[in-house]
Amino acid sequence: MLAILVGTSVFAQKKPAISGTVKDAVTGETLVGATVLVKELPQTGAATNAYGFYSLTAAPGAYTIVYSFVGYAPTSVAVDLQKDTVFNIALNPKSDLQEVVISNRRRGNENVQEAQMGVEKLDMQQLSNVPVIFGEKDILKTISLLPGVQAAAEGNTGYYVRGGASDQNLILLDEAPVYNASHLFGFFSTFNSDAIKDATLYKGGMPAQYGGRLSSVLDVRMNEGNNKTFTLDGGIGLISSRIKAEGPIEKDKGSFMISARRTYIDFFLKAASDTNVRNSSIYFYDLNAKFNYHFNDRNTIYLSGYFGKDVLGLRNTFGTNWGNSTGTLRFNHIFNSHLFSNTSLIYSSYSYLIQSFLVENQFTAKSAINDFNFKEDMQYYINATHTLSFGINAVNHDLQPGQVSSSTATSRGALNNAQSRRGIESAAYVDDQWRLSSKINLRYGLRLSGMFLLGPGTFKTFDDLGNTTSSQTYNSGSLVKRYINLEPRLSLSYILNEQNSIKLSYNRNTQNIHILNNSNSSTPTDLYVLSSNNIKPEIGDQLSAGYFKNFDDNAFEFSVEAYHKWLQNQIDYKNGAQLAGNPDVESQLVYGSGRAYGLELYLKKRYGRFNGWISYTLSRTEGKFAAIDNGNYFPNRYDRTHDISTVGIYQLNKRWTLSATFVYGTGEAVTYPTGKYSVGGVTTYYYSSRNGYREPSTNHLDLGATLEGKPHPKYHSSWTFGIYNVYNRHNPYIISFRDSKTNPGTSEAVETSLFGIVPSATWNFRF
Amino acid sequence: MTGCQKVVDLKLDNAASQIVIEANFTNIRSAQTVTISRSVPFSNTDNFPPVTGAKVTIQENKGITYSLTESTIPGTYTVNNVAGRPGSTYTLTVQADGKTYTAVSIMPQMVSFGPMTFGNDVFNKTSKAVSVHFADPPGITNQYHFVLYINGAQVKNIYVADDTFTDGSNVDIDLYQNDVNVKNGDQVIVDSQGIDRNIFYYWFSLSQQQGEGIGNGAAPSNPPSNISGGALGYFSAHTSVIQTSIVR
Repeated sequence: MLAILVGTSVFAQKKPAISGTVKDAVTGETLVGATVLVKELPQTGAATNAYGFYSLTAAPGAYTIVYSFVGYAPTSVAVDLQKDTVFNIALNPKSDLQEVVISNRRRGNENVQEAQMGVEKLDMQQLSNVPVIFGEKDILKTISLLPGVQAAAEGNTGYYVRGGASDQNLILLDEAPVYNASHLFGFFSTFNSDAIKDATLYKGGMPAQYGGRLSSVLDVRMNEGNNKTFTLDGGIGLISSRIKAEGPIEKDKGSFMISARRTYIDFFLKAASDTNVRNSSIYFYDLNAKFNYHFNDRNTIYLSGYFGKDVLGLRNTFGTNWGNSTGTLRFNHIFNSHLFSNTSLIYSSYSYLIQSFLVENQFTAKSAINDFNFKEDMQYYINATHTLSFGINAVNHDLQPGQVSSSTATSRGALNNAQSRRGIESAAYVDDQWRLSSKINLRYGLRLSGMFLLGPGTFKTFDDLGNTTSSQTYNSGSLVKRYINLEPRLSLSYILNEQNSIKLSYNRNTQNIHILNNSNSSTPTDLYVLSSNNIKPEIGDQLSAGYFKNFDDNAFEFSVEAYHKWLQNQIDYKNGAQLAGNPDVESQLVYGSGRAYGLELYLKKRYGRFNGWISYTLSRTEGKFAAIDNGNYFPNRYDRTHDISTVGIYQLNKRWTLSATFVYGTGEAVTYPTGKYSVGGVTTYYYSSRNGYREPSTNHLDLGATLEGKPHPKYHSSWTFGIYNVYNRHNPYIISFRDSKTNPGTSEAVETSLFGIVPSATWNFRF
Repeated sequence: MTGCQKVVDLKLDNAASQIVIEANFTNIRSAQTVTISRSVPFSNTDNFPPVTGAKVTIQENKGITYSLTESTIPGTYTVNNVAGRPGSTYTLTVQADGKTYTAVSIMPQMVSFGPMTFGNDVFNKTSKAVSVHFADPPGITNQYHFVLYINGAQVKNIYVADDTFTDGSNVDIDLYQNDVNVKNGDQVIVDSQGIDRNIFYYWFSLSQQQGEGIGNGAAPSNPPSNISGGALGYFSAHTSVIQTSIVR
């Protein structure tokens, strides 16, 4: 009886909350990460979630609530808070660029205050000024300019976060996983930056709502579309063009956005003198579409989709085409001032076909992966000190690794039907953001993840040598293998003062979908496999610590972060692995462990006529396999000792903005010969330790300039110019060894590089 | 603007010189040869010093042992006028420079090959491609290795095949290469070998590392040798069918 009385009295004295959605006044787009502060309570604050929703609890009283967001004029609202109140706010964008830059308003220090560390929130406005190859705004290229993130070497796809392999990164586009986020050698991103509202990269301290990959999560949210007026944006460039149309379905209630891109670089190839080049095809296209409808202030539905395809055929060398499709249906429901829910149904599909015509290594590889995913995420804003997030997630994977292939001597009709595989990955999580005191913010959570490998199929178990030790056939839906893992997550920030903090974090992640790569270069011979009776889930533990400091009224951000990762159940191919035409790929694998550690330094100037950043990462990533190099640690191919990125953006005047990027990275770790001998009439190279050498470094300087068009009532235009690799350095793509042609009877090393200096120009318009 | 190659000077270390044993034992009554040499630093010319004064024997099953004697060519050890027998197990023993190396290889059963044919090389319009044809014996695992000679010069490509998908079928294999242009009137010799599984892995591993540029093969490593004791190279007991033809 007493307990119930206490319970109800506590409930009766529950503090009231202010909640609502923050949007852009001009387009109606919800704003992600907008700040909501209470002037009278400096310790109280909130930020809008991925759907623009916020909730803030305070004792009853009279307050001034201040809403602000980068690039927008802040708004204040006076309230006499006695009960739960809803304020839906529209912020006006700053129209004058100068004003944004020199603004006197209070600048945020969230990077110092939040418990979250190892997170980079991309500034989509700043992104438009960073020069990248072919003049394409590209979030994947831009994130590689941040500390702890490395772009794959020129011409290769993927990126590496804190020493993790490129398949350890999860990329979400409106909650749907994107399996191959690059077009054409990694030079164009799958993401049309015009369509993106928000992008956040978690490289450490990953909150419990994310899982499934060891190293990072890039959470990308697309624009919903202007729900007030129709607009048309686009750009026409030397190599590719893009267009975006958006507008209201019903004014202020629903909107759509459709954007498309295509390259036409192959039209230029037709002018080449070389027949092989002339008969090659290189193009890609992609399409983003999104629809949303607000039934009322509490219920919104979203439908988004992405379709993309790459076709690449270099005659006599290889041909490949691949494509991603994703579709997401989401439903937001706001229960009350404290409880927000999002339900998602997601479809994601990726398939590729690769043919190598190289005389020495002919094969055709075809692979597809289809996912169906259900997610339910809830956010419960309990009070001023606790915000609880919890949810469940289940994804059904269908893998078709059908690899049709032939060995080096073309056997016509060599056909391999590797069996399809089906598995269900599921997770449940709970996470609390706890403002322990004015000095300590804590974020802790637990994720329970499960992997269920299902029939139908014949499942063989292999020993260390690749011999089959058992073989069992299962019916459709039968459980073949189950793995359950607990993933604790913890982040803590200790605030020394408003401008300085120390942060610590620990997280465990597991991964059940693995991409096997057996290539010396990164041309994809990638195979997707699920955890199985042979392959255990990969497990990663990361510990990181950092010191964060803002100065000059938050105009400068500085941080130093150190991390150490322990990786278990890492997978590699055994030496001399036979993949061509092998239906039992799992018999060719070896298992081991890995570790990665590093130090990241970062200095960023956020505001001002001149802004930009410098980032430096010193790191090491290694593998340890009993079957390789006698079980000694060896550097991973993508180990990069030094990684330096500098970006500078200078607003010359109202119309011109200039920018420059300089990057430097230690060369990849490679295996070189340390001797040679003759067998079978052929000079053969003798190799010693795995990845014991470094390729020459990669470095390049890129320049860019944006010219805003003269103001015009009906439309807005601008020009973007760029020069990639200004000093024309031929950065190494691959180094190989052969008998010398100029000096017969000797051997030589040959370096192949892809791109020298590449200029670009794009005309952009908006109606 | 795009794509170029250049020769570079890399500062490569020099590993200690390794012993290299190339041992072949075929079913054709002839001189059977084992060559023993040493590896050299990468920057050296392709002169591989022979290992002389070695003691080389090959034993058939648990029976007869052939002793190979060093011929007039240093580093080459031969036994004349002997033939291997399909189905037998052969053991090689080499004592050289104070160390002993052994290897075991099983000679497969004979497979016969049809006449070779010539067709268009899809990758090299100006050249012809040689094709071999045979009936794979059903019910047993077979592995093959083909060595191609054009006008007496060995083509550098390594050709291997097994019967994982062609067991018991009629097989046609096109020997593509871009080393030499093959024209009408050229003399072509093909040595079609039936090899054991270990030798298949050896040649296959080597073939994966051939080639350069985009689409290159696996991360380089030393091919798995069937010789114990730390030698590079191989011991292959195989059936051999040698065919000669003129391109037309």
